[in-house]
Amino acid sequence: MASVGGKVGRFYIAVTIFAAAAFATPADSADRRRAHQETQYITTDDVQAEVDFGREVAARIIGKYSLYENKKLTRYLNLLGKALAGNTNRPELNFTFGVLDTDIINAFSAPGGYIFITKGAINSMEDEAELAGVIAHELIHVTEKHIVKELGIKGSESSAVAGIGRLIGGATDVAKVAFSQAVDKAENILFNRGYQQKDEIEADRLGTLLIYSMNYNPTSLIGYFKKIKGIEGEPTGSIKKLHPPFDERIKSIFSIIAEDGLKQDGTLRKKERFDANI
Amino acid sequence: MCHRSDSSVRPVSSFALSLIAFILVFAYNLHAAEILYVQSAKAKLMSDKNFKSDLKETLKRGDRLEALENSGGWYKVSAGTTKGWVHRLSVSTNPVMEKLTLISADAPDISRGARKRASAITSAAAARGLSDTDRKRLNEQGRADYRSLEKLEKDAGGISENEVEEFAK
Repeated sequence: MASVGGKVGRFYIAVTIFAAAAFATPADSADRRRAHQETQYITTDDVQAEVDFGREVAARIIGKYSLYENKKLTRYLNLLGKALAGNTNRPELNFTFGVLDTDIINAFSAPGGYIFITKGAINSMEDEAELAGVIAHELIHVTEKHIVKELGIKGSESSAVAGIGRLIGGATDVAKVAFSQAVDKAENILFNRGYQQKDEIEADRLGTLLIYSMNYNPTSLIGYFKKIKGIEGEPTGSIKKLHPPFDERIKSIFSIIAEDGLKQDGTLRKKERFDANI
Repeated sequence: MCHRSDSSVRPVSSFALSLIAFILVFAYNLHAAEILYVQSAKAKLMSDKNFKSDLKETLKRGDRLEALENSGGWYKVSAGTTKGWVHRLSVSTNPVMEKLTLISADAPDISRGARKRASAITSAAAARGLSDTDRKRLNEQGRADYRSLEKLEKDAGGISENEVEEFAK
């Protein structure tokens, strides 16, 4: 009898706690869980690990394609990129933007704030709004930590998250091998496998909101995608292989323009400044 | 006697414990509302969860917000006495951090030896990642280019916040 009463009592208490939690929660629980995942607390060590890691990946991107040495263009790209980055939720990162010396049409980002766009991509653009759209897409890969999350890059040794987090804080051979393997994986994501499709779509959608926050035309990426969609052969080979189909991306951008009420009237394209700097 | 006393008290204890638990958990959840900090230079506080609604206020970096609700990438927040919606692109649960950099103030000039330069630049993270030997090997194999990256970092780092603000106007 005492045993049954104890079980009933514990059950009663458990149900009560559950009810209290449910009634007292201002947002619905699924939203709160998602919100928590989206905004997980990060430490300075986490950011430092992300930057250290991203720097190695950035060196490999330049190793593959080489930098395009053009001071005026590089400065212009950095002014635009840093202005966009100032409207994101990662003010702790020192963003660095570079032009890659290749005619292929693509752009790349590495964790920690390293963003690259190819000379071929810039040459196929009409105005600054299109350039802002592509840079914003890459910025979102960084701010949303798509690679960092996938590979479990963390600096905190107390982290219980699986991955290489606790390993990269040390200087052992095991740690170095784990770090090096993680950089290899990131390189593979960038050049062979591509980001996850949902991450690409998110980068398009949030990138569109990001350029809108600077009053650029929200349809800029759509116009750019429609244009390069028709380019066949090597220039667009890697971008088509590594991203979702352009039609799907365009549809997704149109949907966020409608959902979030983005207006085109009075928005900017900045063609003159673009032409003066490329 | 003792046994009978136990069985008569237990239901009352369970109810009392449940009541206390309810009050504690209810109170905890009410006060555990998520705190957000504006991270972007500016953030629009809209009257609804879209940009076509009315702009209620422009928030600035570092502003502390209490999250009341989350829906479709938007947070309903309380910013002081004003309530409204802010997009998650502009906020996070972290207080605003200082900018991090790998390049120390006493880093040697870029024109000096590559190995020495790489060593100084990565001093803040010396224990992490690849050693100078690893990097030299990758450089020689053409798989990585640290020298060009350092030059790019230096050029990009030379742009001031005022110049960026001027550009963004």
